[in-house]
Amino acid sequence: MADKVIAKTDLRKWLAGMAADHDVIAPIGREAGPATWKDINGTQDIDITANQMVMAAKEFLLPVHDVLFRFHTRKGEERLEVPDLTNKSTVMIGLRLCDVRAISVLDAVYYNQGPFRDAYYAARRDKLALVAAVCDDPRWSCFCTTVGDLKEWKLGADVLITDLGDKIYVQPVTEKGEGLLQGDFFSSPSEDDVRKKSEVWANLLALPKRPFAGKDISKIVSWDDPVWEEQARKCIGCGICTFMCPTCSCFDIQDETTGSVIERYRCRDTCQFSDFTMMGAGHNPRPEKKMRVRQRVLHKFKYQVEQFDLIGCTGCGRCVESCPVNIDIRGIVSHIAAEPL
Amino acid sequence: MSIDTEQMKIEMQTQNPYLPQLAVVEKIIKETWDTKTFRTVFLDEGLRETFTYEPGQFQEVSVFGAGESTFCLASTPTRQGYVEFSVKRVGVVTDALHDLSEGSIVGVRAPFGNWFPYEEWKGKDLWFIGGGIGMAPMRSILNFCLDNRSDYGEIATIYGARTPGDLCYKDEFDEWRKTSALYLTVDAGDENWLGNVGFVPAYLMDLAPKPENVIAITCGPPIMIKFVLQNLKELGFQDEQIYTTLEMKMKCGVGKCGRCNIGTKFVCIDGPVFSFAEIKDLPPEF
Ligand SMILES: Cc1cc2nc3c(=O)[nH]c(=O)nc-3n(C[C@H](O)[C@H](O)[C@H](O)COP(=O)(O)OP(=O)(O)OC[C@H]3O[C@@H](n4cnc5c(N)ncnc54)[C@H](O)[C@@H]3O)c2cc1C
Ligand code: SF4
Ligand code: SF4
Ligand code: FES
Repeated sequence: MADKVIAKTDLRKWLAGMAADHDVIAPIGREAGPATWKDINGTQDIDITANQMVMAAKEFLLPVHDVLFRFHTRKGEERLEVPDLTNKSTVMIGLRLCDVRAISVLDAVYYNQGPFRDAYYAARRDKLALVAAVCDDPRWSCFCTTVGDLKEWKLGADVLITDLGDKIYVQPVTEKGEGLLQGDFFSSPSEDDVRKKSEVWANLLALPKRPFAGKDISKIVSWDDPVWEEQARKCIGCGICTFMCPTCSCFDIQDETTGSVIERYRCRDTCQFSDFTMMGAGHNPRPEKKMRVRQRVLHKFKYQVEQFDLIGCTGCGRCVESCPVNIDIRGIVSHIAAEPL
Repeated sequence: MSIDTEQMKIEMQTQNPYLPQLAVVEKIIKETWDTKTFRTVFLDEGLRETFTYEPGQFQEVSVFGAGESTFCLASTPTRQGYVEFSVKRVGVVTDALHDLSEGSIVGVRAPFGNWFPYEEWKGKDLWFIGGGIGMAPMRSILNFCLDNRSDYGEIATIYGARTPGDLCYKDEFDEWRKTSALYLTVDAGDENWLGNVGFVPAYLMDLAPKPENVIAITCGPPIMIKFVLQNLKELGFQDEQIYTTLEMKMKCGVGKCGRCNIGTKFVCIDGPVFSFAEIKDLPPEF
């Protein structure tokens, strides 16, 4: 598979070409408001290498309102109506390596946790190609290189793109990705292009790392660490950290009735709410906030490591930026790696 | 979203774990003032014949519009064609279930979770120790073992409730007594009560089963389980000889919604049946 370059002025042609037989979704509007993923139909100018998206890629794979089915209740005509999951192939373009990694974590849960495949997630994921941008301008909150190996993460993408200024360096990673690189506007990279691309990578990999124990954190993290209580004192339990997190995917299931039709859908839920685990007769296995703070951290840094050999945090920094009381997961994991908090 | 072809629907039903099968409520038994037992039969004739499950597994039952809740399959797969489950009235969905009449349509997703290792128990004596609604999963495995009576040694059941009126499955007591021992106890008796009065763990000490070649299965409120466990240990039972079913709040039942984990284990896929040897290794969060 050969690397290519494309002039930024030709970007629209490439997008339009892909849009002929794909939905193309890309980051829209960081400046203009809440940045999210939109179907651009190849007709919009976008800055696909701009910066990390506010909303993670789960916005597409796990919509906030995900209809499971509709039940028609009219007597004698009771039946289920199943949403059409035969969706078009989709290209998601402009996601970061941390977002790619987050999808690997979601894959582990939604395909392989337990004997069932999640039909809704799988329908979207099976037909999804990921065109990931290599970061040349990490945010202040990013700590991807601390928690993982970006060279391993990039294998989860189908195409990698690197911003070289007036052009974009394009690397197919999979055959699916190579299939997206059609058109005479692609050319072979010059030696200078290759050098520039390698520089972007080198700068990224040279990001300062924080103290971190790697996957061994799952073995050294302590159930009784006073850090849970300390953090819980500040935490207001709003759940924004999990709402923004690209790997947090817990959901609730609800019914909504309109006339004779009942819609069953799933929507976001969070382990940070006390009623998440509240059972009949008032018994709650996680009644205290410190237990819920601990659950969020241990799920990513212990349970998922033991289940899937994957750290469930990608170091994207979204929880760090969005927490209203400045709870910083970087400090927590560094503390566990024996740095004083 | 569009209405799908028949073929698509069939495929989805076999592949999509969130789609309930429609079933009709054939029979409702009022067990106590707050508990009813429901017998359901799938509308689809083919499914009625092929559907099977294992004792200890659970299901998600929908009352469309009210929502979905988790219930143990309280019947035994040795008696095919229907499933039964018992429901204690505690909230929205359980209220809606209690308000149903025979002939109502419900949705059923099943069977989920693991089951009691009854193969490993062959040739052993079995002691079932249950309290309250915890008797529902026990009824499944108890009736299963009674239907395979020659595979097991002595079978005894201790079953406790707050008052005589709180005991479920009264219609079956005589049947159980034919080939096994049944020890009933209540916290407070009434003028007609001839059985034991006292808590389940204390009654267990009075009956004092010897641990040799015995499996103990216990299910009930957490406080009862705690003292039953203590007492079984005092009687000399090992953790490997004691089984229970755990309850955590559930939504999906299939290991996706993230609600029912105890550390690394998800009760809906790794449970709900656990031996105490396994439970010992779990973090204290259930
Ligand atoms: C594996 C398993 C097997 C179960 N088997 C039985 C059974 O055989 N018979 C029976 O009567 N009950 C059983 N339960 C408990 C039953 O699922 C809940 O009582 C029921 O879901 C409550 O639903 P609701 O809508 O009526 O209550 P809600 O109105 O939602 O809430 C009422 C109370 O019940 C709690 N609750 C809600 N959902 C659950 C849940 N899934 N588990 C525990 N508490 C919950 C709420 O937090 C609240 O405190 C079982 C639970 C599990 C996990
Ligand atoms: S825990 Fe925070 S830093 Fe880690 S993946 Fe989630 S949002 Fe990003
Ligand atoms: S965002 Fe901050 S305050 Fe809100 S639940 Fe998460 S850690 Fe607590
Ligand atoms: S009930 Fe959803 S993960 Fe167990």
